[in-house]
Amino acid sequence: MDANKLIEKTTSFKVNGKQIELTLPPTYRLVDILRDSLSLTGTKVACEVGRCGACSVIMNGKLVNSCLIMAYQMEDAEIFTIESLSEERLHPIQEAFLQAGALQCGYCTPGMIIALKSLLDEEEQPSKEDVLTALSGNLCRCTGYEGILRAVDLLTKKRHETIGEGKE
Amino acid sequence: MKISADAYPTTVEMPRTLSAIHNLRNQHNRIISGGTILQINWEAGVEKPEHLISTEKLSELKGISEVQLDGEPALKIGAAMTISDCLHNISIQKNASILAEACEKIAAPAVRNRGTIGGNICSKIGDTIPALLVLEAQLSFYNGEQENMISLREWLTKPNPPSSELLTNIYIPIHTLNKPGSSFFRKIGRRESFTAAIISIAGYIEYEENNIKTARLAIGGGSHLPCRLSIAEKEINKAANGIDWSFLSQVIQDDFSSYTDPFITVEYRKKVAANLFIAWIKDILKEQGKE
Repeated sequence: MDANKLIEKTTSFKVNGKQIELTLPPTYRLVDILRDSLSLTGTKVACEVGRCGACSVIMNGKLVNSCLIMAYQMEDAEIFTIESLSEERLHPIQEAFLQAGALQCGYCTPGMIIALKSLLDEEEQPSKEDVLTALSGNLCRCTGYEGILRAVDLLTKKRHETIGEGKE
Repeated sequence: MKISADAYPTTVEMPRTLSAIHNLRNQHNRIISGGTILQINWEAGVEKPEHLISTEKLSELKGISEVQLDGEPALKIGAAMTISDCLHNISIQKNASILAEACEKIAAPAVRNRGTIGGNICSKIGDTIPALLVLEAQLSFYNGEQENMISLREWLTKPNPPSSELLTNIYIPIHTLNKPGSSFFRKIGRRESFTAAIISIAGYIEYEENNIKTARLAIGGGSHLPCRLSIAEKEINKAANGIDWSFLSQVIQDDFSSYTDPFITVEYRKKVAANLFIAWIKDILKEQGKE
């Protein structure tokens, strides 16, 4: 291996609308960048192998596990984390979670909410099957998922009423 | 926070064209696409390679289209297309529906958005492989100078893929509508979604005047090296005047090599595979008015 080979690279990307430039080793993980370099600790780290969804973020419009994204894969990417959802007030998904009691320990909640946001950005009125598919990569060991599904019902009903009243 | 570069010694190159790859013959390299499987392995303690060659920006590995291959229509799928790309592609849904079904059963949306069909194949344990085996897929590999074709079936029998060869495209012959046939894919696991496979199986049957003309069966999933069940296929193909189901069940069970792990015994895997294949073939024959 060439000893002079550069093993750090300036990587430029956007997080929650803010342009970021960091000098990083190419295989440094996005989840670590968010939590350690940018102090965005809403994104949780748990299984570290893309199985639990706790570290879900939206990258270039698609849901991804930030534990499975490396710095070199983020060049010019646009990333949205849980922190982007409620800068001034709670996002409707978060409100629905609170209303439906869709969380207990809360560790999986940011990932759940991001996965649902990704679905609802694409599907205005998702079917139950769509919801189950969208959440199939997010594990929750507290709620038994029922509260989470109630939150989605609440949310889609509200959306339906809003559309019916011509408010959107 | 200061990141110690010493803890991350791996270098990466991201060529935009095949001819721009510098280190294909470097023995310490590793080709990486979405990287979902490699990162799981690293997390499990497998040593990271010194150098990664990323396929992400290689234009030659992108796109899904209908092409001519040796004068016959075929689907051409770029190896860097994600599992999600394949799952949602109209042409794959229409011409290779069992591949779309296999893609739908892989991991969960966030992983499908990153993992690629090329990576799934090169892992040699991916769930797309049984479906691609019965679809008689051909693979195209770049060796640093040119691209060469090899059937997936033959490639699977070779020792671990050398990192000096890069999978560029997957070709699937398009079975035109004047060939009546049925295909199926099933993945069996111990949970409802994001299922780790106990087995993944695929089948394709072509018939002529309501009789089975050609049967192709393949099995993989879990830690199995995927393969076609050629002895069982022969048994079905020669059984024009009816199939001895218990004999066929035994042939299927004898025809693939499986394993026991802490969860599932070898006998169970073999029995489940045989039962699923037989149930599917019986359903087809019923549809054809032959059962």
